[in-house]
Amino acid sequence: MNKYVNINRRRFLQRALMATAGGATLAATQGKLQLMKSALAASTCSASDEKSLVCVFLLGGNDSFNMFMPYEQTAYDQYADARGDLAVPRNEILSVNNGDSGFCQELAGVRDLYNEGSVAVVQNMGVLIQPLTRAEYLDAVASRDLSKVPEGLFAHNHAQKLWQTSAGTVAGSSTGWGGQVAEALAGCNTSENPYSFSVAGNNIWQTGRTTLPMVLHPSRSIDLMEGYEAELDNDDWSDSRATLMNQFLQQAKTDNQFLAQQAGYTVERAKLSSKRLGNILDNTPVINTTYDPDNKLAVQLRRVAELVHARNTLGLKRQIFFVAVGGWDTHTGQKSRHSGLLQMLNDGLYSFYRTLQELGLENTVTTFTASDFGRTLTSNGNGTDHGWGGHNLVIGGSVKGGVYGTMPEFEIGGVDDGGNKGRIIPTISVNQYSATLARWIGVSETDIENIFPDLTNFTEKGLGFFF
Amino acid sequence: MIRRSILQFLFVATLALAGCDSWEVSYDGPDSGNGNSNSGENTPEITVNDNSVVEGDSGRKTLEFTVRLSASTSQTVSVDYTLNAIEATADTDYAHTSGQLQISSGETSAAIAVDVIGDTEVESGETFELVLSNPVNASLKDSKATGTIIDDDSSSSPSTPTLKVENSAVNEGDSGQTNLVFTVKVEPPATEVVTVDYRTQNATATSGDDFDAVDGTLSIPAGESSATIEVAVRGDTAEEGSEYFTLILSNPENAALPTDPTAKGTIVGDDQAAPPPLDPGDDATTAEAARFLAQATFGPTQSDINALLAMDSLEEWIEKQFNEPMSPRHYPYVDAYGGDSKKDFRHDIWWKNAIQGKDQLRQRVAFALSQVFVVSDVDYTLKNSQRGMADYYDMLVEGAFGNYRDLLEKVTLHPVMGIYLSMVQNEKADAVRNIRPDENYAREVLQLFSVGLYELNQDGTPKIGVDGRPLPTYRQADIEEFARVFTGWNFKGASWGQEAIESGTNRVDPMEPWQEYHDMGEKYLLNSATLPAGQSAETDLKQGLDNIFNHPNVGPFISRMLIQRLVTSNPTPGYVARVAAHFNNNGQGVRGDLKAVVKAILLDEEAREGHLTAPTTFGKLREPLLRFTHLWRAFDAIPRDGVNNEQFYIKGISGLEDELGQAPLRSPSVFNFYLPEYIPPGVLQDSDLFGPEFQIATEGNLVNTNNIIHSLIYSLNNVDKSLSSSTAGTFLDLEAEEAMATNLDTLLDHLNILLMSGSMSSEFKQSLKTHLSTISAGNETAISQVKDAIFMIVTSPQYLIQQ
Repeated sequence: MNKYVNINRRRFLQRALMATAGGATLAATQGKLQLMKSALAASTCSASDEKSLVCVFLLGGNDSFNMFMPYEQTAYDQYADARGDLAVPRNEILSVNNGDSGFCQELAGVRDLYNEGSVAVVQNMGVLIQPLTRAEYLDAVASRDLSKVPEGLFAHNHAQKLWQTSAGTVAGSSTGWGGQVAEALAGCNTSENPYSFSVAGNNIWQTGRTTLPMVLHPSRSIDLMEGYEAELDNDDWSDSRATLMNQFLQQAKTDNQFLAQQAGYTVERAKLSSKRLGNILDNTPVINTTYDPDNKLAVQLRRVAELVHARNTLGLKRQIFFVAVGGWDTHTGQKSRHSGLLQMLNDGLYSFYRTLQELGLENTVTTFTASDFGRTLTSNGNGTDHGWGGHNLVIGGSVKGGVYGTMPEFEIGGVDDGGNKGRIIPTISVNQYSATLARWIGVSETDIENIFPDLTNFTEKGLGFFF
Repeated sequence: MIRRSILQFLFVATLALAGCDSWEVSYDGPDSGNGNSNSGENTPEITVNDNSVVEGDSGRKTLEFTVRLSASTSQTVSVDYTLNAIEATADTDYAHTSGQLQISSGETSAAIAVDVIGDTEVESGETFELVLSNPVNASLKDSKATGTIIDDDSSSSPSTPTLKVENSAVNEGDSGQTNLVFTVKVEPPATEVVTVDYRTQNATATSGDDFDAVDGTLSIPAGESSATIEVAVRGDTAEEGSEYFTLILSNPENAALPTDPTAKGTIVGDDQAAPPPLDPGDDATTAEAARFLAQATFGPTQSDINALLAMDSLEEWIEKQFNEPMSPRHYPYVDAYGGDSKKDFRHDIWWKNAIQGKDQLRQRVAFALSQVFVVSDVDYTLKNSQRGMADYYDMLVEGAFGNYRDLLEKVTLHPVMGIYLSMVQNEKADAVRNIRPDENYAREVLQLFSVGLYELNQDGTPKIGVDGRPLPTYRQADIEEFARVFTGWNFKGASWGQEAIESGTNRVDPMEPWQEYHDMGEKYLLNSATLPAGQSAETDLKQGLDNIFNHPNVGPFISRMLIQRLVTSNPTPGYVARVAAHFNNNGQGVRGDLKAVVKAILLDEEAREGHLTAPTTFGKLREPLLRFTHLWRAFDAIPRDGVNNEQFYIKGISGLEDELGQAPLRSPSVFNFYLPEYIPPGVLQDSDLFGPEFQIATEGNLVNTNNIIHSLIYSLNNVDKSLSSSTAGTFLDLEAEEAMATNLDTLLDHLNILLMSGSMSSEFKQSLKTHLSTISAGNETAISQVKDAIFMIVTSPQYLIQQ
C-alpha cells in the first residue's frame, strides 16, 4: 500500500481499536477482529512459565568485526590485513572456541559469561530477503533488480527498520516483530498492565498492529498526570476538573478528526500507564550487583531487571523490553570511541546478567544485541562507514552457549564483500535470528510464519542457540 | 563499468556561441518585435527542444540544441549549460561540453552544438541531456533537452517507434496568455515522418475561460525525437485553485500510441494568495487569523491577531515579515554569557527570540529548517561547541528567507556540520595507508537534506519501478563518488590532523579547502553527470552541490518536509506539487527561493481551508516546544530569572529533550526527533496517515509536559511577579483574562480564538463553562477560573492538534 498517496477513510476505524499500552485495554478485544491483517493463531504458554525477552539495540551500526575476531593465525592474518590500522592486535584478543576466535579485551565480562556457557555469538548476520552470493548481489545492483536485496540497506533508518520489522521491505511495514510477538502472546498475560516496555524511547520493533511499548525513563519515577487525578489537588473543584478532563479525553477518542482521536488514545495511554506502573517502581527489589550510574546501558538494564522482577505482581507471563544506546556510528575517532562503547556494552550486559542471577531470574530472561549493520572493513582515515553483516550476542541461562554461523572471508573485494570496501554480505538472516528468539518465548510456528514471511527463503528456520 | 574505463578526456571546444543567425523566432506573442511599449518588464522565457542526429561511422557530426527566448529583450541573456550522459557515454559517444551561452540583445535564439563521435558499433538508444541553469535576464521554462544519437549501424530492424506524452503544468499568470507546452516524444526516433492527431478536452479547466482549445495534427520529422504542442492558457486574478484539462492523442502514423495516450495539463492557480479581505468584526475571520498565525509563528497573540486583521491580506503580513529585521543572533549572547560548554544559554536566547522576536515567521521557518539540516549537541562531539552551535542556528535564521542552494552550501561548510557528520578533514583515498573517503556527509546530505532515498514525482509521491518497488534515487556507488567530492576541508586556520573535537579549532567560520587532501579524480554524480578531473575542492563542492540542487526531487522533498513542520502531517500530493512548483521556479526563473516556498506553503488553499475540506485528516500534533511558546506568547510571559530578568526558562527542568522529547538542536540523531514517515498504530496506521510528532508523544514525555504546564499555570503563577522578586521562573500575565471572567462566555470565546483558533466545539465550551461556574473561591474566583480554563484547554487532546 502506498503510504504517500492517499487516505483511506474507513468509517469503522473511528470506532475501532486504538494504540494502547502494551496492548491491554478495554477496546482491545472488539477491535482485534477487525484490524488484524492476518489472524494470529494462539501461541501457547503453560501456566507455570514466565519469560522475558530483552533487545539491546546498538544504534548507528556496531563495528562488530572488531568485537569478535578470528584468532587462529592464518585467519587472523587475513583479518589484520583487511582491517589495516583498525585491526585489533592478536595479543589483545581473548580467545575462545578452541583458539579459533575470540572477544576483544573490552568484552572480558562477556567472555566470562561465555565460558560459563551462557553466551551465543552469532556471526555475520544481517538483513536479507534470501541468501545472496556476491555475484547475485552485484548482479541485482547492476540491473537495478532489487527484489532480492533489502531496500536502503546502508541508510540508518532503513537498516534499523528492516531489522526491527522483519519485513524485507521498508514501504508498508510499520509494525515490528517484537510488537507482533508480544501481541501473539498477549493471551498469556492475565492483567491489563503493559507488557511491552522501552527504556530508550519509541521504536518500531515494539510497534505492533495495535500496540505500542510503554516508554519509561531509565531512572526517574513515574508521576501521575496532574489534573486528571483529582487526589493530586486540594481545590474544592478538583473532582469536577478531573471529571471533565477525563470526559474531554474520552470525547477525543471518538472525535471525527483522526489526529485528535490518536491524541486522545495517546494521552489516555500515558495516564493509565503512569497510574499502573507508578507503584511498581516505588517498590523495587534490593539489588546488590553494582552498576556504574554513568553507564547509559547499565542504568537502562537495571530498570529492566526491576520490571522483570515485578512481572508476577503485574500479572505478566510474557514481557518484551527494548533498551538502546547510540554512538556506534563511528565514522571518525573510531579507535577510542569504539573501545569506550564496547566497555559500556560489556559492563552493562555483565551486571545485568549477574543481577538476574541474584534475583533468580536468569533462566527466564534472554538478552540479545542488534545493530543497524556492521561496518566497512576498510578505513576512511580514522573511522569506518556503513556496512552490512555483523556479529551479535545472545545471553541467558537458557542459551546454549557457543559460536554460531561462519566468520566471513576478510578479503577486500573477496567472496563475501558486497563491493570493494569490505561491506560484508551476511550469511545469516536477521529473520533466522529473530525467529529463534520468538520461538523461545513461545510463539507458535504458524505465527512465526506470519511474522517472518521471508523465513521461507531459508533452509534453516532457526539457529539452534537455545536448549 | 565502461564509464570507469575512460581514462582520457577529450575536451573539444564545440560551442557555437551567441549571435548565431540561422534560427527563427518561434514566439509570436504580443512581446515579439522590437517594441516594448506596453508589455511591462516581462522577463522572457527560455525554451529548448530535444534534437537528434545520425551518428555516422567515423569522424564527428554536430548535434545542435536551439535555445529560444519567448521574446527579444534589450539586455543580453545568458544561461549556463552542461551535458549529462543518459544512455550515451560522455567522450565516447559525444564530446562533453559545458559553459555559458549568450543571446545578444534583440536576438531570440542561439545554438549549442555538441560533437557526436561516429563509430560502427551496433548500439541502441544513445541519449544524453542538455541541462540549463542560472539564467540571467530571462527565466527558464525548459531546463533540459534530450539529445539522441541515432545509431546507423544496426543490422536488425529497429523496434517500432512509440509515442509518449507527459503531463505538463504552468502558472496561469495574472493577465495575457502563457503557453502550456506538451512534449510529444517518439522513442526511438522514426525513420519516416510521424504524425498524430491531438485535441484538448475540458476537465476542471474550461476551454474559452481558462485555456484555448486546440485540435490539430502534429508532425515529427524523420529522425527527430520530439515535437511540442502548445496550448494557450489565459491568465486571471480570480482565486481559483489549480485546474486541469486533458490532451488526447489519436490516429498515429509511423508510430504506435502509448498505453495511455492522454496527458494532463495543469494550470497552476497562482492567485490563491488573496483570501477575502480581512474583516476584524467577523468571528470567522478572527479565527482564521489565529489559525494562520499558529502555522506561521510560535503562537498567536491577541496583538498579532489584531495587527493581522488590520492588514489587507495574509500576503501583506508575509511580505512585512520578509522585511522584518532579524532578532538578535544567538552567537553574541552565547559568546558573552555561556561560552562553549553551557548549553542552557543557547536555549535561553532561543526562547527569547521565539517568544518575543518580531521576526516570527523567520524564526519559525528557521526552527523548521533546524529539523531538516539537523545537527545536535547531544552528541559528545559538539557538547562543548556551544558558540559554534549558536552560529549554526544563526545561519539557519539568516538563510530562512534566502535560497536553498546557498543555505545548502553554508550548511555543508559549517564546521559544526563538519564535526557532526565528519566531513572535516575527510581526505582522499591513500593506497599506502589503505584508506578511502568518509561517506558520512555524502550519504546524509543526499538522504536527509536534499533528494531522499526514492525518486519522486513532483507531487512527492514515489516513482514506482516495473517491479512495483520505489526507485532508489542513488546507489551505494553514488555515495562513494560524493564522498570523494567532499574531501579536502578543514577548520579555518587549523593544521591538517589537528584533533577535531578538542577545543581551539574554529567552529564558526566556514571550513577551508586543502587541495592536497582533495580527491581530484573524475567523479560521477546524479543523473549521470560528471565532474572532470583536476578540479579544486571548491569547484568540485560547488558543482557537486549544484548537481544535488538541480535534481528534480529537491522541490517536492524539501517542500513536503516544511509543510509537515508548519501546516499538516499529511499534505495531499496536489499541495506538495503546488509548493514544489514554487521551489522549482519562484516566478522569476529562480529555483530554490525559500521565500516563495514559505509563501506557497502558507497561502495554499489546503493550508487555508484544509480544516474545512479535509476535516478528518488535516493538521499536525503540536510539537512539545511549540506548546510552551504558544502558552507563553498567548499570555505575555514575564521572564524572571532572579538576575537580569531577561531569560525565559522552565524552572527545575534538567534537560528539555530528556523531559519533553525536544530541545533546539538536540535531537538524538541526524534523523531528527521524529521521522517524516512515522505512523503510530491505531487510527493513523489504519488510515495510512503519518503522525511524525507522535513518535515522541511517549508516556514519559506527555506526563512531564502535562505536569510542567500545570506548575506554570498554577503554583508558579501564585508568586510575586514584581521585578524585585527573587523567585525565578517564567510567569504568565493573566490580568486581561481575569477581567474577562465576569462573563465566562467572553473568557471562553477569547481563549477559543487564542488557543484553539476557533475550533472549540460547542459541547466542549458548554461543559467547560459549567465546570468553571462551580468554582467559588472568594476574590480568587476569577483567577481560579482563568487558570482552570487555560490548563484544561491546553492539556486537552483536542488542543493538541494544530489544524
